[in-house]
Amino acid sequence: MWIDARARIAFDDQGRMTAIEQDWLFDEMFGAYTTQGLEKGPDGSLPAKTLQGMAKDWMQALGEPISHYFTQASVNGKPVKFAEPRDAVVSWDTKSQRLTLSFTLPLAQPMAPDKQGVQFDIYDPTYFVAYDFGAPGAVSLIDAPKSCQQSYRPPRELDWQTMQKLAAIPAEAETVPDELLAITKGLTHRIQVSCE
Amino acid sequence: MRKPYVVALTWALLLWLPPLAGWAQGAHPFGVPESGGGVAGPDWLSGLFAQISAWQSHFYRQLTSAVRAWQADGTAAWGLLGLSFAYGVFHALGPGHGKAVIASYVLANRQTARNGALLALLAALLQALVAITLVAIMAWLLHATAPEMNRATRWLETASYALITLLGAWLVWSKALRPWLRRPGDHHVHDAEQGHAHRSAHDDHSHHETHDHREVEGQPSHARLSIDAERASHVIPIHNAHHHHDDCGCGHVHVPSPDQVAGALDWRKAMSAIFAMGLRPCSGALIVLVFALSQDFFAAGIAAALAMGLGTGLTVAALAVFAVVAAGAATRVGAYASAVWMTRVRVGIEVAAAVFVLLLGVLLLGGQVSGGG
Repeated sequence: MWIDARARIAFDDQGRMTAIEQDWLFDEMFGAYTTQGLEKGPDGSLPAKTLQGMAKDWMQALGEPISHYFTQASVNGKPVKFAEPRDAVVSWDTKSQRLTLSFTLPLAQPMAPDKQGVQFDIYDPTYFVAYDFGAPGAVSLIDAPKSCQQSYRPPRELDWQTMQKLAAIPAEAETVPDELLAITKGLTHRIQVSCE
Repeated sequence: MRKPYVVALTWALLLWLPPLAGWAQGAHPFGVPESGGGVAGPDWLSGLFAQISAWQSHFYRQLTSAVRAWQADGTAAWGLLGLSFAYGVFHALGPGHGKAVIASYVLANRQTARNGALLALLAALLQALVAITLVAIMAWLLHATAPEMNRATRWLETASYALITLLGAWLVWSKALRPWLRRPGDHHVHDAEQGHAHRSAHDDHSHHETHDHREVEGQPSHARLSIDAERASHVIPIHNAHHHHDDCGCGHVHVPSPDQVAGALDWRKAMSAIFAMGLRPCSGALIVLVFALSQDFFAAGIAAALAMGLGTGLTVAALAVFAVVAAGAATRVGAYASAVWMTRVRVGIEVAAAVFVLLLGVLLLGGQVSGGG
């Protein structure tokens, strides 16, 4: 399935990063599958209760440690802790026939990014969901100090040469050469936020 | 000549890795009939799957517009069919147990490459038909919701896993246990018989037998099996003349030489493998069918599901053929050492394939039962 995603990194009035807010716009086929058989209004709308139920179910499932909202954060490779998510809302656009899930994932502790910055990685570990942050302005900062900036890097495409190198490693090898490890680690959508 | 064999063997190993690495069960967070839980395994493997998924998503993304294009222009069907076919190919390359079951079945039964390909295609066709039937009944007639359809899919999945377990148990029984249990008896007769069949057979034989015992200490079953196989291979010409069958009860592993392998498929047995792989519909097919239905264009969904099935079927067929070729290559590598080793490798592959199917079935079924969701 496919998600057109947007992410906003929110700051407080002391210039500290507090949360990542995301909108996930699901593809139309997923919308058709998920809303099949549901009671719809004459205009094709879905009852608020149905949408709330969807939001609850999804957030609960996404909250499993193995998924963790498909979102990780780290500073210099060390994981940053999140608090419980809030403001989870599902909406259904009757015209485009697409569902959107919006939610806010607060950091456990607000933090001021330094020069090295903070990295957010967004991906589905099963790779069943493909994200697209390609829309203009899909990644943005809210109320960030002027010295802060963000950059976005899509997952790397593996070329055939790299694939062959990967495949040539014997199955029993537990460790992978460093440069290849870096490539496999580059398979997430990465948002980097750093401040001078 | 050696290098192609090594390459073939490496790829054959790769064929079995995905299901072992990806067997972790659990529903996907978004309530689609796709197992979640992440792909365990070495980093390079998840990297490979990531790329395969990326390609699959690439084709998936264009399916909606392809359905619409066909709807708008009755002659524009090829776009959807081509995309669905490509989606099916990449679906087959990703993690999944189906191809491993088919390939193992083919190896354990010494099927020919042609039969392996046929099995793979039929299983994929069944998979498409199950998806079409499921959506036609549940979505079209009953107006089922997504969770209801997921539950139905889960039942089919459980049935498929149960079949794999049964198939595995049957393979292990007929390939390893039964030959081993029936073993006592006849050996003097065989020894006498083989005397005239080979020039220095006796010397060779005893040498390997002692060697064997030393090497596989603590694993008597394997040692005995290989010796049996070795005997069997020596006496085949004689047995052939007597028109013995698999279950002739003459107390040895019956290992026919390649030219003796039946060209025709045993349908009764093959059906279990076809159902084991084909019973569980692929989520991509279900989703495109439901989408086509929502667009009042169910025919497009049926065509797409069949095209996906063809893509999956041909890919698994290629992998099955590859497995047969790789097993043949391994046997020939064994033949470099000796005729005894050739048979040993051959029987080893069959038993390993049989055990693998059983193991996979038990793991999948166990995950399904304990996984809930």
